[in-house]
Amino acid sequence: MTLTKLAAVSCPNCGVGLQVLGGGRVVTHVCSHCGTQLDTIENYRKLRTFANLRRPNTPFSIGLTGRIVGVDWTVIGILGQTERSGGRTWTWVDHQLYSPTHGYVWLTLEDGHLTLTRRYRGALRPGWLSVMGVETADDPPLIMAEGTIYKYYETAASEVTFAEGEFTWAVGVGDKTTTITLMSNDAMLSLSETGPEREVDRTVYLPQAETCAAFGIAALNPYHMHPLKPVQSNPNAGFVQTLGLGCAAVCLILSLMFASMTGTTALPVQRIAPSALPTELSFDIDDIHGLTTLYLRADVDNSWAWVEATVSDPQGAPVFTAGREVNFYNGTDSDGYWTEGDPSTQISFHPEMPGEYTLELDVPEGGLDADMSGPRLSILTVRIQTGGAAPLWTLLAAVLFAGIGSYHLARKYLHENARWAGSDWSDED
Amino acid sequence: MTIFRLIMIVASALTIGGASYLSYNGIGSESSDLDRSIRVGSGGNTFTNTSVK
Repeated sequence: MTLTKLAAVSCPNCGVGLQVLGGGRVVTHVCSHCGTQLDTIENYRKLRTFANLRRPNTPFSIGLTGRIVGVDWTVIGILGQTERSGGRTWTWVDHQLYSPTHGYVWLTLEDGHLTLTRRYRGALRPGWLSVMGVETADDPPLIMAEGTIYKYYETAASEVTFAEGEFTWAVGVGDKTTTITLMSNDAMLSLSETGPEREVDRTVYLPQAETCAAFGIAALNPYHMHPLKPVQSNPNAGFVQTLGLGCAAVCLILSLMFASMTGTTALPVQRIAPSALPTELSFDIDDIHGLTTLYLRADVDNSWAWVEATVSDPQGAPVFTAGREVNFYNGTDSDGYWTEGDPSTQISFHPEMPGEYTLELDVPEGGLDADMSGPRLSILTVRIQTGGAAPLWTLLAAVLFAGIGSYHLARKYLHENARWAGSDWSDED
Repeated sequence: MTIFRLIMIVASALTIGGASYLSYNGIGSESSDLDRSIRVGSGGNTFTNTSVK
């Protein structure tokens, strides 16, 4: 940090010495001590005095120098700004910076965030956007500047509440400016109208820690989300995203593979008439790995049936009993044909030993709707597959990997939403 | 390649391998409503059967 040592003048109102730092385009100088506005074009003639101004909270002071993006700048003026809307108040501090080689820019401090604003002199398409144009637009207005599309963000009426130092126009406390702001991915365009004057400025977010260090001030503590703040980069984000989504794809393929692995047939399809129930069927399990599954189907029609299956192991010991309701209803109403229920069911278990197992089947109950007039089916079919796989775990892994892979994408999406959360555009207007 | 990336690759490979093993053997996919009570007999090969006394 250094203080630029240039010429100084005495305030004609209070006599305090004022540093002259700002170069040839400065037209006004507001005394830091008494708030008197001086006309620098006419030999620092006294214009008016802004008394009892409340100094905004900023760590930057007149004469402070620092390097931003390779250029040395000096703080020559400080403006306190306020916007009031809907009972809320926003305040920020604009610092006029000067470089003998790069002219004038604004360093803005708002909610602990630093941004840099400079005059934009390129072409706009369309050439201007008015408040009326915003209010009558069906969609958020867009402006193209140097190949970049800027989308409408907000319209704000700001007021100068404090002034100190040198400025390139005759600033006055109480001056009001209406600004329409549009935003791209990394910059804002501000279209301002002050009386008959129109200005276009372009604002970018500064590297916060580097800028503070360059001016020799303590690191700021930003609060709230600044719409220009870039998403925090992570050098592994792309890797994690690729790995996560790639592994999710692998797991999905494995899941399809395992879903198709229903094993070998231990009992081919058996068609059992109700008159043959209860019945016993034997089936062999040679390899006890994987699932053994009983596929049962009853040709119920607008009725239900309770199917009971008991499996015994090769030593005759019962392994389990399971009961399932199968039902199927259909009909036609004003919406057309409808169906409800499922006449099929599956029962899966892990066999503990190879050998000949016994399946006992029965349909003890059934009926129409809520009645229990007895099962109404003509055929019960059963087949048994053994050594089957199930994609449960690979599907869970796919979900896990998809979550990991999507994290960065979701973060960018949420960040983008947060950037635009402060926009005053409403589709309902 | 950083340690972080190496760990991520190894962890992913282990996760896929473990999930494949469990899925191939159908672990955790048996029907949950099987009655293996003492009336039926053995508690079977699940850890969840608490009805066997």
